[in-house]
Amino acid sequence: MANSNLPRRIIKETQRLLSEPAPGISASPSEENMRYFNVMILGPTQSPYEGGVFKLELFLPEEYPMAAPKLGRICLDILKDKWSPALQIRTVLLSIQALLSAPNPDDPLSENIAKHWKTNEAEAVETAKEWTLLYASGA
Amino acid sequence: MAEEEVLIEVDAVQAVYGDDCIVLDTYPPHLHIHIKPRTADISSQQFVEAVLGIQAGPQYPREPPHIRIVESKGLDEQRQSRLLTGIQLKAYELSSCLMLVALCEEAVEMLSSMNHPDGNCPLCLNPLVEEDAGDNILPFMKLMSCYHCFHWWWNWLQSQKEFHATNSSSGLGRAYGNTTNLQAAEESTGRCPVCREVFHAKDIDHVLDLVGAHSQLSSSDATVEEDENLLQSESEKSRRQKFEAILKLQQESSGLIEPKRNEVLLPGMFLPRSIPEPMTVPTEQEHTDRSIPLVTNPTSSSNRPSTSERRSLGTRKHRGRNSRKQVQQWIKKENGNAH
Repeated sequence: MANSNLPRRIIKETQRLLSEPAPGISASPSEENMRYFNVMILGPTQSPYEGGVFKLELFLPEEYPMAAPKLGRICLDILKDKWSPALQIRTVLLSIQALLSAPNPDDPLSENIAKHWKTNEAEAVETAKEWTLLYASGA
Repeated sequence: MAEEEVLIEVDAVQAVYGDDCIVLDTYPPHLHIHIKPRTADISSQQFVEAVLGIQAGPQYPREPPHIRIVESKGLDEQRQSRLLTGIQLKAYELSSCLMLVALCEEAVEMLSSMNHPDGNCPLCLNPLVEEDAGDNILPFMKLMSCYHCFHWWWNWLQSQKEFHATNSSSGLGRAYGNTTNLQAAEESTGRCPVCREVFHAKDIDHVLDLVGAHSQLSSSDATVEEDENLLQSESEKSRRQKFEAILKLQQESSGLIEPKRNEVLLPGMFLPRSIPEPMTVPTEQEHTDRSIPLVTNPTSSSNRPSTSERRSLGTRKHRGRNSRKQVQQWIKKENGNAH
């Protein structure tokens, strides 16, 4: 079973994530596999994503913390070449939360949305607000 | 006359501290003094240092000089403020005496008593120095340039080395204490995991001899029980329930970009008749990267061959069905899976 050989560092991180969660971030390990985390990030206040609840899946590879956690397609340098073993699950999630506050249209997942954001930011922000309300509402 | 005495005192400070003393003003004296703990000049045993700013006014020595910490390494805020108050206290004690050298000596004395790395190892998260560890203390390394300290240094050197060797795909667990790796590590440079400052081979000279002796440290001492307790705690249960509830809500409003359901047509499945026309909604959807193993997939059941499961995950057909307007769904007949 994947849980039987969990490094102490992962256990320590998990304990701290659960006992002192960072504001607006909840990460809890799956019961079946302690390297797999269900993550919820609240849309930051003052951002178009305010009021939204965003679900993420985070997986700690065998090499963690020498290799970065796996998080799907999020364009963030610390998840790639700027990873350092001194970073943690907590710091990664805080960075993603910060990315919601300050999206980077120069390194987008969707070219179309990035273009929209660059040509008409106000409208793009409106769309983001609408979609947050429509699809990501937590209440 | 008083000025003369003060000038002589500044000379004395320079004589004692040499290059570690920078005189910004001779009168009223304004000095920066680089203070190190007493370690008989063994720099690998030195974990803290500070630059002290001492600025006297024209009323010195009747009024004690203003003292501040210009910069420091290895000192947490608590120790910084303890150091500062200690020196300030000394300054009041010695009020109206010439005190510059005495203040510096007090600072050296205090730093010597604070000469230990603080907090947790940024890699393994254990306290760097455990109070009651006795002989069981884990060796740790200090990077000579930035003073950041680590346990687990061997794993880490290894990974640095591997990184420089154009990311060879080998695991970290292999070949601990291997001498060729050791030599490679000696020659290479790396970056501090905390501040990303480049360090050189000489930065880690002082620990390379430890590498062989403690090769198997901290590899897999796992304790899972405390963890199980954690997972079963009430707060965790309610957190999970909350999470599920929000997910369900978002799923209902089609807010989730979900992995393809691994739907396979099985005998007994049918499309409900009540739906008027199968709406063809060829909505192009952003698909998420599915490199993450899907551990909690509620629909994966054991009675299907795993190969077909994998194949169906990869296919892009029936995409429209997973789009926002989810109007119809295959339904399993009650006894469909009974045999």
